[in-house]
Amino acid sequence: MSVDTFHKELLPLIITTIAMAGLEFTGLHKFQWWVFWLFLISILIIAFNYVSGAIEEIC
Amino acid sequence: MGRYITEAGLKQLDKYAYKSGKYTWLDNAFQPYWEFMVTLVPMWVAPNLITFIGWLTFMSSTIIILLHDFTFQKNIPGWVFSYAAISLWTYSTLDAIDGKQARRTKTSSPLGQLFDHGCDSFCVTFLMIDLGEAAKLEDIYIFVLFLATYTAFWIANWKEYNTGVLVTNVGQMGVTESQIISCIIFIVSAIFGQDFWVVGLKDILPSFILSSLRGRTMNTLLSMPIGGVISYFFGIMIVLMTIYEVVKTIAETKSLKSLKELFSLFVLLANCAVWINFSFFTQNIGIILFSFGFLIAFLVCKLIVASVTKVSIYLCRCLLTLSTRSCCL
Repeated sequence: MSVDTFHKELLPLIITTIAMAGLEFTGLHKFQWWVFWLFLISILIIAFNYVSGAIEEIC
Repeated sequence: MGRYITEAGLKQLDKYAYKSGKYTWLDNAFQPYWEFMVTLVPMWVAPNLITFIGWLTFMSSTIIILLHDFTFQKNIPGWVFSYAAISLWTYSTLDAIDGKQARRTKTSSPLGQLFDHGCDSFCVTFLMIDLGEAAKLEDIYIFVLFLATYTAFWIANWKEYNTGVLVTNVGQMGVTESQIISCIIFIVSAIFGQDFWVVGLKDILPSFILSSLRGRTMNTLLSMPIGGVISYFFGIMIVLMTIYEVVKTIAETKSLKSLKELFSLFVLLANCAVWINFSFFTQNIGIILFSFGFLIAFLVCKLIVASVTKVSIYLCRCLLTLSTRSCCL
């Protein structure tokens, strides 16, 4: 499978899932909130940059 | 060459024309109502403003619901669901007339297409959160329905990317029908309370039917709440319809190449399946639905941009470095 056939924006989700699973396994549940916030912030930044940039180019 | 859209893609924008699929019986029945409603809108009102007002109205109902509860466990006052029903009706009406206003004012544009369907993709999250609270659905039920609905939404836009036609229904079941069913669920919750949906099937079915239903699977089904049964039913229906659409698209394009574009969707669903096992998931279902919905809606927006510009989905550049940095912070 070529790398080009994959949405790279899913990487934060994959990294977060691995980190969350690690924290779940080790019982460090209180850190899951921090990891989740980082995930949320990263997708918000990516989406904002993409949508604002794409709209500017379409207009 | 643009950062997000190629030069060829920008040229393709001028040639883009929106093609909708077939209308359902209910779509045709509502046409006179929508035709009348659009005449009430002044000519100076931009179609995108109509879309945006509808989106804001519906989002307000989700915010009110989440302010009351984001665990899907507590009881919420009935007026909140009455408002959810009104806001969903307003949103669906405005969503139906924005395209008509665009044609009326001759302001149809690919940006309108992106804006309209982009807003729609975010509204799926709002609808799922509202429904989950209205039927007091357990996290697993609402997550199944949420993923099934977004998969259908993704596939509809993937189909448009490959065939140029946006299909919003399978047979007589489409977006309008789903919105009306949701409105009915909100009204029932407003009148009878959320606990209406929590009652198990075995508590309402007559004893002669219960005695004829035996077996382990049947026992599991009977112990499920009505809301759970309905969400599983619709979840399975949506998945079956989606598989049908995928097969139809492959038959239409006569190529299996388009299937590789669904790889990201599978990765996304696989990740979501892992999240169900986290204790964090059960405690924070509302906020998880919100963020996953945001991510999927964003990816669907990318698909729409690729559709209107006719460029490869993967030529749309991403800010990978930024995302990696954000994760490492």
